Amino acid sequence: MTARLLVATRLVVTVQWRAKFPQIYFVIAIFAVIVFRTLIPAELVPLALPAFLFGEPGSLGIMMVAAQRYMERGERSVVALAVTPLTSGEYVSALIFGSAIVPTLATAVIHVGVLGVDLRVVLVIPPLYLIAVVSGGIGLMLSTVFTEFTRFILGTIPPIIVYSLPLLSFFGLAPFWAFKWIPSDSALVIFGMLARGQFDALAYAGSLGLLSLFAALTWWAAIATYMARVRHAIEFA
Amino acid sequence: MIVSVRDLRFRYPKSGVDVLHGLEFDIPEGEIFGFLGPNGSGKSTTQKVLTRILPGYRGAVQVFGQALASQRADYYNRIGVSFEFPNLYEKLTAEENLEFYRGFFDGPTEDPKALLRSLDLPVGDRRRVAAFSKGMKMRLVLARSLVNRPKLWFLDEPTTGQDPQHAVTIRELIRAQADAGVTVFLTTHDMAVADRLCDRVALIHEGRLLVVDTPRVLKLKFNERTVRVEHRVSNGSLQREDFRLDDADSKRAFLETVRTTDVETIHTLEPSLEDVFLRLTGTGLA
Repeated sequence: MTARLLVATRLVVTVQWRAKFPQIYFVIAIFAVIVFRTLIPAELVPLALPAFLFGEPGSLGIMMVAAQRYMERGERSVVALAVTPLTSGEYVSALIFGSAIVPTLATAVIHVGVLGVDLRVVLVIPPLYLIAVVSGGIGLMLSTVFTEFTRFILGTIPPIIVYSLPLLSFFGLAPFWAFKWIPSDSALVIFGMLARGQFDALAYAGSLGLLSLFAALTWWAAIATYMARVRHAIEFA
Repeated sequence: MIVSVRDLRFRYPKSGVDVLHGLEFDIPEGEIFGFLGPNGSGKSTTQKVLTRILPGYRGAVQVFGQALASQRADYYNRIGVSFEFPNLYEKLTAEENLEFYRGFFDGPTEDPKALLRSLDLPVGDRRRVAAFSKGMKMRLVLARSLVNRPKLWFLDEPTTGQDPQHAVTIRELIRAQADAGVTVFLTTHDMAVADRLCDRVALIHEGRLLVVDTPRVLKLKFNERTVRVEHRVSNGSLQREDFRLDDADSKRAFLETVRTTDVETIHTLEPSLEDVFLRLTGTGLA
């Protein structure tokens, strides 16, 4: 199983590279660094950077996984995978976990570009990757439910709104306990601590944040799997 | 038997009617079994059931002596599936497509370069598959289906989009695989391919199996034993006459014609598989 999962992940990454997905990500990342270093006042960085960090792998991650799914649907290449020992679970895992690698690295570039190189680079990668995984899962689910791209775009709006609700807590506008069940909330907390350089609190709060993020991820994955099954969504059984 | 099918029925979800109505057939090891019928007759659906792409069938289906429903992912290590349309990763090269694909199988696999050569596809070509012609893509799909050295090979319209030379290459490859012991399930509406290649054929129409036999027996069964002669008459014009060999007078007339006229051509008029299908259903295969 592991070998097949690795091959499938390599396939996903290679196809995305040829489709220029990583190149697009890194151009956006470089552009973001330039904006942060030239336009955003230093005192606003601890607020603006976390919001941007979860937005890049978040909203773009949804789009990229969906773009790959529409591409595969157009080529009908996924049907060929259905007659190999690769299972649908391995395929979905490869698609989601493989697609999360590039957005994570590209977003880490933004983090380094704005805050410089220190311990925070290592600490920011796990939550970034988890956010990218959740976004990929949402992209997979939406692109499976909506077979037309225009409907998919409309379909992304509700999850992006829900995904962004923790910003209300983060900016102190409307704290609400239920936001804790949205994966972006924990990520924002961790990104905020990193941006403010609160290393002392980070060990404790960061661990709690990651645990909370895992719990939210599990919850969201269960919902996504249920919806995919209800809609007979994943055509490759 | 490699494949044994009894009372196979299938209905697509959200459809109120069966598209397969109680199919029954067996395929022994090493046979090229042709599954013939017009578009929409249920050929591809049957292949999709046998390759486990379509679950939810009714009836008893055994492959490799085991119920199809109980087969697991390992089943795909033993079968090869060539589709009727090009379903490749178009942003990858031909070799990359084969290399990735063979990484999904557990047992020994074929060398992608050798497979490409066997189907007259370029080796070392850095072009992406998107730049290939339809015929090249279809040959690559065929090559990909052999990458895991299957024991049972499903082919759906394998000569689609091929020029005559490559159609011959494909027929020779199929024959070579069968000679090596591979069982071939060949779905097609191309009578010429079926007639030249298949050990036995099944004719399917509107989801029902009409007949299963060798092409020769089927053709003889519907043969009217007629000879067509073209000869020159006294004014130089070409005359065509049909003689029924079952009729004594007609047979005498045939012999007299051959003896006394300037014969240009003689042909027996045994039916083609398409004629057989036409007589059984009243409709053509196209």
